[in-house]
Amino acid sequence: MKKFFSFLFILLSTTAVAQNNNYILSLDGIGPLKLGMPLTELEKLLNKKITLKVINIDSVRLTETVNTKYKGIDVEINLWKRQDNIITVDGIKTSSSLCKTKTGLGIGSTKLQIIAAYDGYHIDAKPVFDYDSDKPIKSKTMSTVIVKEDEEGYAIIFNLVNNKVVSFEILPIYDDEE
Amino acid sequence: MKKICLLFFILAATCATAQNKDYIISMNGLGSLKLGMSQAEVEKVLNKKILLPNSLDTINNFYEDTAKLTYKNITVQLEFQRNYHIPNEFYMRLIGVRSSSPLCKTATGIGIGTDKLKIIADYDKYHINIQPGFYSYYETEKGVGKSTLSILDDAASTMDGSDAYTMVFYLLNKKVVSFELKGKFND
Repeated sequence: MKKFFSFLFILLSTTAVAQNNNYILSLDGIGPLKLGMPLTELEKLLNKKITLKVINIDSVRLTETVNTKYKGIDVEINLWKRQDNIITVDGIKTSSSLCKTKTGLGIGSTKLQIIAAYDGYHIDAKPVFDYDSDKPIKSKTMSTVIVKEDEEGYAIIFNLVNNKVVSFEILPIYDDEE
Repeated sequence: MKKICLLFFILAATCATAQNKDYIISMNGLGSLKLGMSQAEVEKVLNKKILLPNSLDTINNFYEDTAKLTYKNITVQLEFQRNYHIPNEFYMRLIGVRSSSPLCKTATGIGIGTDKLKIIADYDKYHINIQPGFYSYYETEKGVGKSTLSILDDAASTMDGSDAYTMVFYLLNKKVVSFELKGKFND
């Protein structure tokens, strides 16, 4: 009986760890859902076919956003058709509370916690501006914290309301001026 | 006797306040050294002539020049830039102030030795940029524990075309070791 409980405990622990790994937020994705992943691999991971409504239909447009489920959570995935015609994942967005970084940052974390956790990284913490009028208007509640390993490359964008994280995006950020 | 002591106290307090104001770090300058001032105005504040060789160089036509000077007994590095008001006629304008004096502090007390997270908390509503190394426009001085924290005002953040100010803190092991105030003028 004792052995059975030990086995059950190990089994449950292993499953919990595997589940948590699926939701680990990093600079290149969420768990095994990675930026740069080809559409075929994405479909395998999600275990479903993604019906494209823009790419390969509109000959001019090379990007498309799809809303889907990944391991039970809602995600928004940006797809991009590369020059070699391979369609890849180019952005991931979610507001699931199951997603956390290795250091435990997730929904509800504060700006100070993010900055303290990413010491040595490139960080841009800024208020959101509305550029629709003549002069940009600063939001009183909304802000973002962008974390990058280098000046350019993959980034996690934490979207905050009243200094608390409400959603995340993982995107490649490059300097267009170069 | 009581009256003399009171007078002395008031005098000492007034002097201390005036001195502190000379070292206040703000987005637009250090004490009475304000970004955007002309060379002549800065010379008046410092009560001395400033030598800027680049402003006299008509061959290479360098646009900027720096000078290391003493302001109210502390060492400051001032950066000037040419400002043309009509073609071929310019004056040198103050666009940067750099110092590592412990006498200098912001109105909320940020100065040499202040922790990174205190700065972020104090400037909560501003755009904050953090980069590894001591970062400047021209080069980055890399090294363990070195980082640069910049606070951008709304104009600098959005680049909306108005005069923009940035306050830069250089940190070693998350503590301020020096600071720089920068102005970008659009006229």
